[in-house]
Amino acid sequence: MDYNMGKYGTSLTNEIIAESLSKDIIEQIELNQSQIINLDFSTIKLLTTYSVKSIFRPISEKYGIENIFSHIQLINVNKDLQVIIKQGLNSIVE
Amino acid sequence: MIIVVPKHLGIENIGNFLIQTEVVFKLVNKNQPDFIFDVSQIQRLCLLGQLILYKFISFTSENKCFAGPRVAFNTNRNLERVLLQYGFYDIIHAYIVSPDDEEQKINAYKNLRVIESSNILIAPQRLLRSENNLKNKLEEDLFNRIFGFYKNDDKSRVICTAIGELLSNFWSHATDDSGTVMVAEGNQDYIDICFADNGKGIITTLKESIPQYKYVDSSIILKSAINKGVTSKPNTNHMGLGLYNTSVISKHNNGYFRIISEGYDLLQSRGKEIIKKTGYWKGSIINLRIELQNITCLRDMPELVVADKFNLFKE
Repeated sequence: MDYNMGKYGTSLTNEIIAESLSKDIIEQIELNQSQIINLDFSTIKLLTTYSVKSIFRPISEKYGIENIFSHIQLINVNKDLQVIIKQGLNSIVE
Repeated sequence: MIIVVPKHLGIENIGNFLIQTEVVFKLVNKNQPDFIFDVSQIQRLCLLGQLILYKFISFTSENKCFAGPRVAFNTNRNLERVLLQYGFYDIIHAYIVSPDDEEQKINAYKNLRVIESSNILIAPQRLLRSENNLKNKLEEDLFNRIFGFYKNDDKSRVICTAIGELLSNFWSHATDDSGTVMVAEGNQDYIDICFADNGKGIITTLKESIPQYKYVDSSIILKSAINKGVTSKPNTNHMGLGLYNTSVISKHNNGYFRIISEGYDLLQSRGKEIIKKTGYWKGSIINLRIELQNITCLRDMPELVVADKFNLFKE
């Protein structure tokens, strides 16, 4: 199933939106245990490293960073935004 | 005591102004009488100069440095026109006319004001950490307006990433009484972004959070602030990439990136990095100017690209 990452806004730059998304994604994982959730970034214009970490850190704390990508995958992500997402996720691992 | 602001207050002589004014940071609650702030001679004032002028007035007013201070304006129409044009007039006026009326001062900022013609001007915005809804709305509105003005997602994303990282940095340290203000202006060829606050300052913040910095020279500490991960905050989502990413964006786009904090001035411009002593400023001042004619995108900045450890992205 697809989850629209633009649900709360097209610029994911602060913890207010990040926390809402994080909660939603955890809820979707719980509801759809056997399915992979596609996080759809097609409407997202902007991300900051802080918001990436704020979105994914609670999820990785719950499921483990190595395991979360067996539950979710990221689709339609602009190449520039991929740079920011990788920076954010790497910092969770480090 | 009299402080006379020079005829031209541009990025090249901001340091002299800071030396001239640093005394005020020792005058908190002193209510020193007979102070005149003479702005009557100003003929040219850059965006950063306007912000610093405003922050000087707001700091001295909020911290009761002077009793009955006077601003010598002498109908300086040139200054009036510039301050009106860039949105500083009302907020300075509020401090001069109603220094004790907090609501009026906050109201002077109104909502996000973005003026667009062939240029874009983001009028001064006060970052109030306590107003989460405002923060969210401000960022969404601000970034939508920038994407709308440039009509070029690559340009807009570079600009907004820099602003977003700097905002995130300031939000993380800002308290409402640190008085963080942002202002920006530009056109299709460049953008000039300025932030200033009277918070703790980058050097003090780093000294407090990194024990081994306790005895390190302040100039080295400020210089390290733009290194990867240095400004991270343990056990938070702040990774210390805000200033680092901004510095990389600046380098790749013929930028001018300057951080002034607590008596030191760090400038990165056209491949050079200079750090020098300057007048003491309580808090931080950040100025980023990037050229936009031949934009280098984030994906083309090798310093920002890290390995995809998790095979994250599906087409």
